[in-house]
Amino acid sequence: MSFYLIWARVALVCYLLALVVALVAARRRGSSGLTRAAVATGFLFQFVGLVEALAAVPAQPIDLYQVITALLAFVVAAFFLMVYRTHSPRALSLLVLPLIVVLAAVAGLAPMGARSGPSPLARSLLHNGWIYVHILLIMVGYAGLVVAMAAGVLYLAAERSLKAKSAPLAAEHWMPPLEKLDLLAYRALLVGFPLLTGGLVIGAYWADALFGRVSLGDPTVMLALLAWAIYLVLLFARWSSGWRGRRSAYLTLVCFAVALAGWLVNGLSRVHSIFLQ
Amino acid sequence: MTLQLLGISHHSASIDERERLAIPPAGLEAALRLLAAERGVREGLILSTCNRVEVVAHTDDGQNGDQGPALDLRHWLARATGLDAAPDVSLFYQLRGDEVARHLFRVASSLDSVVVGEPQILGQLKHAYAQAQAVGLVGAELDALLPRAFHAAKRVRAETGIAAHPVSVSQAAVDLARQIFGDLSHKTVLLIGTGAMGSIAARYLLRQGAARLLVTNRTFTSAQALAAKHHGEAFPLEQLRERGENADVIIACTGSPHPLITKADASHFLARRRGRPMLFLDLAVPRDVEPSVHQLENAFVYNVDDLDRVVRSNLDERAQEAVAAEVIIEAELRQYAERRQARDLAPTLAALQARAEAMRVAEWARVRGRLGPLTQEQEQAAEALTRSLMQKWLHQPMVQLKLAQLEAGAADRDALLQLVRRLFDL
Repeated sequence: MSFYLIWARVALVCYLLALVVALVAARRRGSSGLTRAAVATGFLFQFVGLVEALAAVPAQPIDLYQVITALLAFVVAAFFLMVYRTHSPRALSLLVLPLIVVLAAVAGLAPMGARSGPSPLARSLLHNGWIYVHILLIMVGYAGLVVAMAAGVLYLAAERSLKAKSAPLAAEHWMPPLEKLDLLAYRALLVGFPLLTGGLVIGAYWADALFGRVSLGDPTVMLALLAWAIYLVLLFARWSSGWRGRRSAYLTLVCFAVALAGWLVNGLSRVHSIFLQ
Repeated sequence: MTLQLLGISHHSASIDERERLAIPPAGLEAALRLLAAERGVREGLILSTCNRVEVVAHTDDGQNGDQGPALDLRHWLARATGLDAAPDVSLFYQLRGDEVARHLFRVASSLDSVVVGEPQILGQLKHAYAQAQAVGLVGAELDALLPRAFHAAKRVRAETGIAAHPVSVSQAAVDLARQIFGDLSHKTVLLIGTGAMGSIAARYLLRQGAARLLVTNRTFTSAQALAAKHHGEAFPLEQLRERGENADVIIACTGSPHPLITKADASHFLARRRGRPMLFLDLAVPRDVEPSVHQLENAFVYNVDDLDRVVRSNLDERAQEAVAAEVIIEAELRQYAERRQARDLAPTLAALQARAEAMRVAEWARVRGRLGPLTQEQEQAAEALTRSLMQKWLHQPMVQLKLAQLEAGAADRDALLQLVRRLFDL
């Protein structure tokens, strides 16, 4: 077993611990610094694992998509650590931590078995540094989308209960304020958008050079471009006509769903399935 | 010795009677000194708030051998407050021993308050404790009891939702504003009308950090007066449509027969604010804000009934949380009783062991002379034998004594200790 897997699993255990602590803290109406510490520890192990993987990638039998999932978990955890202090954490923790755990589980638990490693073609491609930049930028863009999605879900829940006049009062300890959630989603999108754009541009340019013209009908490419377009509409509507709140939250969810679909159909994509074994 | 408490509160007496027996803050020190001067009083504490007067005293037992304490607090309180005759017994509750601890734990945790969960009482009790300390009326008993009561109160606050839910309309208003905006420090409050309820809510929002107050009213001068009082800004009611958009929270409380803010007005505000949310608190009857405003995105309208419902459901919530709080109190009381018992028992147990050891040493010294020369091992074996005999013999009585002490009531505990001391001649 490669070292990457060991570190990925240690990170998974840390995230699980953080989730448990957050659940207990929520029940006891407290919040715990332990959550943050556990996520930070998991974050570090994830980092070590990623470095190991990066060192091993061109030659060793490592599933590239597993490593990319680990990268996504890593970036989401980084976002989580950044917003943990400034936003009332409980509801956010309980929504984002399970996501991190799922990503880390996919990254750390997929069976490795006897793998042949990347195909010779993929291996040669992995010697090109641009692919790493492409992956990193897109993953940070996706992580921003994940955070925006979480904030959007919470926004919709909070807005609904305020409209129904059934909000459990003193919910401020539990649920971040409406305006803060909106702002958080906006900032996450703002960070994610230019990086996703950069990632797509690099991907397109690089694929063009390697494979010739890539068809827009390629499912991953098409969905990624669609998600990017919705992303753009989201930001533009906010700047131009003050779109925010509920409409913005719904559109964020759509954008997230499209991006997720794009991720799931990697296997169907001619240019992306090269890296799947 | 007995720990006793005499109290009068909203549970036991009307406000007229509480007034007569209240000890004003200025007179508290004198009252404490008066209590300290009483014969038989070792420690004492007086808690006097608008809802309760309570006197705690740790006193010697009476001369005539019955179990009663040396001081009748009811007569003492009458004298201290300058009444001719002691007031009716039925106005008071009188507690002794363990019941005093339970009561003080509950009072500190605000379970005995008019509004369960209100936060002031803990501070008031701490203050009473500090004042009694200043007069020198606090000794081992109260020093053991009150910090535990404060600790229990802290746990109740932290671990139950008893104080988490607002129970006044103003608090509910602030709470809603916080749920929407979070930090209020950059927010503007617009008060329409100068009615009492609206002004109170506005003042409360300002105290919670809201940055700016705008006031408007049909009579412009009274708006100006109110604005001046809170460093706010007044504008004539005619400008409402132009200036309403600046407000994050609008409190409406006028006597107008027609709504002052229509759906069209509100959507105008929201459009100008580029969708930033607005909270409308409509405290007027008939209403000042059209109910349909609530249907607009990013607008939230709460009227008097809505706020009232929130407050009432929170009172229910508090009652439920109080049950959880009682569980904590019982656990804390048990811990307190165990500590206390250990403290009370310690001298007797130590004396018992010292006595046994002295006896052993004396007996061994007496016999040792007759045995002639012994090797060091033999000497050590004999030492060990006598010591372990004594310890084994004492073990069971000591364990049983601890158990009996825990199970016994306050009055029996002293008797039990006395008995043990007599039995073993300590």
